[in-house]
Formats: sequence, structure tokens, C-alpha cells
Amino acid sequence: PPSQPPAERVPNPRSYALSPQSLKILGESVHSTLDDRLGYYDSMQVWQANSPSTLTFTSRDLDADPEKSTYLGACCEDQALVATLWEEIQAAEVTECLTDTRLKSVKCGDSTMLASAQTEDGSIIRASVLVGADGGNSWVRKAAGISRIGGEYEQHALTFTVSLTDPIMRRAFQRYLVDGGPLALLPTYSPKHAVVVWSTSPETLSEWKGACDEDLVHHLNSCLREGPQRVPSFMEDNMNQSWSAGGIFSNIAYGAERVLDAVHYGLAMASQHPNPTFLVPPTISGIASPKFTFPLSCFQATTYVKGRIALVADAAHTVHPMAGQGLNLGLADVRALVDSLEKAHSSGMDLSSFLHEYNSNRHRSVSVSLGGIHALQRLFRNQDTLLTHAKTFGLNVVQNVGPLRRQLAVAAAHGIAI
Amino acid sequence: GCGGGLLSESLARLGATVTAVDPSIQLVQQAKTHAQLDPKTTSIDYRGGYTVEQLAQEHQNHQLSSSFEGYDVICLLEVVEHVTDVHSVLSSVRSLLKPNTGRLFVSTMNRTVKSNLLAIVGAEYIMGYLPPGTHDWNQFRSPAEIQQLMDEAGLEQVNVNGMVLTKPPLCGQWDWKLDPSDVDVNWIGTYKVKLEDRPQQS
Repeated sequence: PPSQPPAERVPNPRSYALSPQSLKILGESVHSTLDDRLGYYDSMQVWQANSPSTLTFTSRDLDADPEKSTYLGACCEDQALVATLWEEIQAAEVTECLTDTRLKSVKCGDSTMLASAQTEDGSIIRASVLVGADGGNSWVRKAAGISRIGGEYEQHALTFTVSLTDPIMRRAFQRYLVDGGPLALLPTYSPKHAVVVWSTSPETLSEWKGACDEDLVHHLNSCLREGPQRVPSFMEDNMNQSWSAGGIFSNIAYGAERVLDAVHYGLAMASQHPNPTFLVPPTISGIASPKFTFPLSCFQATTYVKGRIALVADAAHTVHPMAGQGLNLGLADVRALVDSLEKAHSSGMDLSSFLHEYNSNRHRSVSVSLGGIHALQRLFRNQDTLLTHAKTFGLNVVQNVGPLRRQLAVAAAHGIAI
Repeated sequence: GCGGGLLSESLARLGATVTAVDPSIQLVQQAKTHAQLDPKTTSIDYRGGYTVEQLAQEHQNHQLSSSFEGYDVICLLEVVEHVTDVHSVLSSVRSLLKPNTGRLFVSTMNRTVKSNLLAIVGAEYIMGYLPPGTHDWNQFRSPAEIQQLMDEAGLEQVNVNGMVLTKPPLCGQWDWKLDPSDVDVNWIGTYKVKLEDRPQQS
């Protein structure tokens, strides 16, 4: 069993962004054990490389009552979470816990037959319900013959811990860079350390993974701290095309762009948001941990339930990290699955009686979340000028329409579709 | 009327010692096989091809030699609408029920226009939840009619509740709740042995 990571000063970059709802699902006991290992943040500022619009979510968006929502999210190290959960397992009334045991096949079972799993040494384990919680490359999903749809993104992600010159002040930042991929800076339990999650092309990643710390730090700071630039001119994009009608159209296009600029800046500055509209992220002073890369994908299993087998979290679905939803969606699955098991158990029924309800609830909800996040990824990857105007306008609209921004925040926090 | 054993298994898992009776031999055989899947249900005493009258007779015959005081709980759920001689069933049940603390639960459907539309036209013919002809609407009984039959059999009513859906079963999810004010379709009543009537010694 894993043990708690030593109380080092440098947080491990292998971390998750947990919503308050997720910490509620994990329970009081887990939350209080983890409390001083969490990087809480009260706001998340989202903006683009080349436009002035900014979208800032705060904990007030989750709940207007300042007593109730004390934070927007919390960054939690994987090691700390796993060690805490193992302690919970050992304290709970778990009949049997087999470690270092490999399975070689499963049977899904049905109403007349239990599910079963055969271990490599030949013994058979029978169960009313068999839960596959084994991640994106789920062996259980494959062994049960459940297929999935989706694909790998061209982008990969790079993550590492950085040291800061000034404390990050419980704020999270995410900027969509010129190449489209988001660069996120997340608080940790150490105020002068943050976790960087950078999604971009594999070529860019390997270039920077191998670069010296000084160059990387300089590049990160310029990406995060350079002011928003004007949207590139429509005319510049189309220099190669021949505008036979020349003069008049170019003037109209120029005029239209000026109007749009005025609108964007006007909206950005006239934001009704109670907090200041734009905050410059803290300066990064150094790279504080090894760098890890991982591939990104968006997959949805065709079903989460087959016979008496249920899939949860990444085994059921994977998502781009840009919205910080991965584990939140997974924990919402767990809550729904436990509810269906409790419903059966409290009536003395076969535990698998309501698995179909778990499937229809979560499959539908997650499909919409995945669709939304994937659409956002496709949108931001594209650098087309017209699209940039639309995105800018869109971000400004969401920012300024309080109810809409709050709805998005709540939906994200609860891992549900809007 | 244990049928395929759904209720029997639930009660066994919740901690009860269960004797399950049904006139059908085939259904009870299926129930026995299914009960082997869970250690908590293997001890259910299933009697297929057996009626409650026969069970009552069996206990009567052993009365002098056994310390059997009666069952704490007897369930006749969705049974009375399929039975031709309700009085005979209820009399047998009364003799098997523990006096004072024993409780009989009877659930059935009320004979109303609404129950005809929902349970027969709706459930059988439109939604296909049940095969057409599963229920004979003329066999449905209101709480008042059942109370009359109980009285004749030496049992008295404790309470009656309607069983209503909390929302339409649109996504295949059936969520029921008890409602004392709506007995128009499905309802369930609780009964006990009438205090003045002691079970007769034969």
C-alpha cells in the first residue's frame, strides 16, 4: 500500500483539479486529511493570446452566499489522494483486498448468473457487481468487450512544477496560446509553487522538454505575461488572394475590423464583474520538478454497463484537461454508481438491479460534457481570424452575462451537463 | 403467491426467515435456482405446487407438537386479483398470522376507471409493460371491499396507502412512494388478527 508523500516543499506536478462537489463526494474524512496538501483557488482567469477578452470564474459563481462556497477548486497531488484513499480502505469493512493479483478474463454475468473474474493462477472470483475503475486503458473494459468511440488529440500535455517570485494568491490562470493549446497555472499547497499544464503539439513539447530551464522560464513568462494583442487583420490573412475590386472592399474590411475592435475592448472594459477585469499572473522564477508528458484523448465507451460489469471514470470516458474536468466527471460517476447500489441494497434487492439507471444517467450527462469540451478544444485550436472574433465576442458575452457564467461554473463543478 | 421469488429474496437479504408458497411448480423451481446465487437467499423455504390453505392445514396438524406461534409477517402482494376464492385464502392466512404483533400486507389494484386506463389499457396494450390479459379488471378490489372480506375472515385493517409513481417512468426508472390519499390505482393495506377472535382449536 502506498504511503503519504513526505512533506516536501515542492508539490508533485501529477495533480488533479478538484471541484468542491468532488471533495464532498470524497467525504469529510478524506477532505480533512488532505486539507493542508490542497492548493485552493478562489478564481480562474481564462484568456486568449491575441484578444483583449477575459473570462474570470470565481467561487461566488458556484454559490452567491459567501458562507457556503469558500473556494472554486483545489489542486490535489495524485500521491496524496491515493495514499489517503488507501488509509480509508484499510479502515473500512472491506472483506478482502487482493494486491499483486493479475486477472486474465472476466464474465459479464446477467440476472441468472453472477459476474466472475479469473486470476492468473486459475482461481475464480464471483461478484454481484464488478466495477472497472482502471483508467483510460481499462483492462476490464477490453476484457468485457465494450468498445469506445473517439480519438487521440494531436496535442499532448506537459506538466511540471514551477517556483514563483511572488505568492499565487489562490488564483488559477489559463491562457489559450497562439498555437491554440491552453497553458494553465494552478496553485498548490505551497503559495510560491504552481503546477503548469501545457497542452500543445508533440513537436513543441519535445522542443521545450529538452530546453534548458532558463529558456523555458523565459518562454513561459512571455506566454503568460505578455499583454493581449490585437486580433490580426483580416487583410493580412488574405494577402495571397487577389482582391480585384481592391480599394473599396479593403476600406470596408478595415472599417469593420475597427468597429469590432472597439466592441471587444468596450465589452472587456465595461465588464460588470465585481472583481478587477484582468490580473497578470505571477512571474515564474524556476523549474522545480522533473517534466512529465502524457497523450491527450477524448473517448467515450459505448456503454458503461454490460451485464453485472460497471465502468467508472477514465475507464468509461477520457477528456481534454483544458476544463479540469477529468477527475470531477469520474467522481460524479462514483456518486451515481454508489447511489444505484444503495438503492438496491436498502430494499434487499440484487445489487445489480439499478445498474441500467447508472448507465443511462451518466452516459447521457457525460456525452454532453465531452461534446462541449471537445467542441471548445476544436474551437480554440483554430486560429482563423473570423473565428477569433467570434471567440472573443463569445468570451466577453459569457463574462458579462452573470447568470450564464454562473451556470457554466456550477455545471463544471458538479460534473454534469447543462 | 411468491412467484419467481423477487420479494422472498429481498426479505431474506434484509434478515427474515422466509417460507415462500405458490401453486405454480415451474415458477418456484426457477425461484429456487435463482436463490442459489446469493448465500443470503439459499435458506428460503420454497414450496411449489402448494397453496396457503395447504400450509395452514400443515401447521394445524402440527399444532400440538410444535411451538409455532404464527408468522410475524405475511405478504400477499399482487395476489388477490388472481385468486378465485379470496375468503378461503384470508381465513388460512388468519390462522397462520401471529396474534397481536403479526401483520398481513395485501397489495392489489383498485377497480376504478383510472386503474382500467392506466394498468390495463396503458400498461398492457399501449406501453407493453405486461402481456395483455395479465390482469382481469373485474378482479381488482377497492380497499373498502377488501376490508369487508378481512372482517369476514377475522382480520382488521391497520392502515391503507396508495402506491404512486413520483414521476412518469420516461427513462425506464420506476420510483414509487406511499400516498395515503391516492388509492385510485395501486394500493397496499396492513391488517392484523381481530382482537376478539382467537384462532380456534380444532
